[in-house]
Amino acid sequence: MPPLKAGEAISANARQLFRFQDLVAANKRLQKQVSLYAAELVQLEEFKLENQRLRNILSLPEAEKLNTQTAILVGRDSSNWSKTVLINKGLSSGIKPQQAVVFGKNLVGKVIEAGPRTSKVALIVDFSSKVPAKILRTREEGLVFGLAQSGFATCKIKYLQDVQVGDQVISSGLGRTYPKGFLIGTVIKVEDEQSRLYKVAEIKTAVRFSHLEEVMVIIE
Amino acid sequence: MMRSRKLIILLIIVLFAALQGSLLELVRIFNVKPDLLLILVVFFSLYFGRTYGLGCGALCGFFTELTSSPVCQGAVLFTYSLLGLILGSIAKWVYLHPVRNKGLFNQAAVSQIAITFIFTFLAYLFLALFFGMRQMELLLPQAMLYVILPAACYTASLAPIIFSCLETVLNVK
Repeated sequence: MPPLKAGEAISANARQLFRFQDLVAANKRLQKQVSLYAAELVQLEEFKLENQRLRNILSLPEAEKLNTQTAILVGRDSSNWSKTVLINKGLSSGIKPQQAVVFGKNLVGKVIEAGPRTSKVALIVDFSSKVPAKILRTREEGLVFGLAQSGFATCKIKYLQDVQVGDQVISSGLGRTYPKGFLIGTVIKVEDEQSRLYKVAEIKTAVRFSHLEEVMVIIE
Repeated sequence: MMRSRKLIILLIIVLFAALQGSLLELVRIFNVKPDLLLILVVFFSLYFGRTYGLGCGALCGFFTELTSSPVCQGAVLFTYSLLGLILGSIAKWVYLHPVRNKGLFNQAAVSQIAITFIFTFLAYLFLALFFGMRQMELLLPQAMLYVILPAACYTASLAPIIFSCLETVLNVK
């Protein structure tokens, strides 16, 4: 029936016209976003140059460039207590005990034993682990302990210092093992210690250790 | 005959140790996995006496420590060996042997679950106290809630199946 077909054709064209208008609107929105990001990029470049200039003026060293070695997880801890993993790189790849292990910008743990071709890594949730840390928002310093039994970590900071749920905790770089600025996790609970000397913040680690397959060992 | 049995036992322990450190990660519940090696210690202690219990406990403890944090420092080896020795010594008084109770879910199975639960609980409690004494960041109530009780329940629930498989493989019925 020609009138019916004509009606269908008109409605299909009208739908396409509306879709086209949507596409035009989306395109305009995205173009705006791109121009905003371009402006931010220029601003970031400006900040970078300013940072370099200020570092030169203050004679501060450049941020460390890390030499890493990628490794694959080949085994996990067989007990329910400690949290360690076995990786497929060892002394022959330049890996030594006390080297930090990361995944992207997240902290994983440190090498505790190195064999010729494999190494054992203690995760930051292992109960032997202690990581000097900082609250990202307030720059308050503390120490992150592993709590193998619950799969979480806790951060102890001085009682009067400020820590809130949702704060991000990063490695402070103190000590010689863990480099500065790697994300440990997010605070999910804050409690006062009985002695009222410290606050204890429970941290949900940034890395899901049960899903970890590859890691990077920081060689230098 | 004795030598071949010892060899089979050794192979079983190696196989279970490999399973414990690999595939069992996939069956973690509430952050714990069943301790197959502890089930082996309980089984060999109950069926072959204290010498086998002690030897198997030492081997299983050794394999567990091989992949664990160095802070264990022989604690697992010592605990599992002691468990094997004690359970092997009292086996004939505490264990309801399946010869008189056929089938998987019988009185023997209840006995296997109960003994595995009690000895896993005691072994883990001992380890928790040891780690606590070494000033590890380990609180007993948390350890009880997150590790000791779940691990003891999970391990004990698997005991009748493992016992049944081992009885068949070692022909000890």
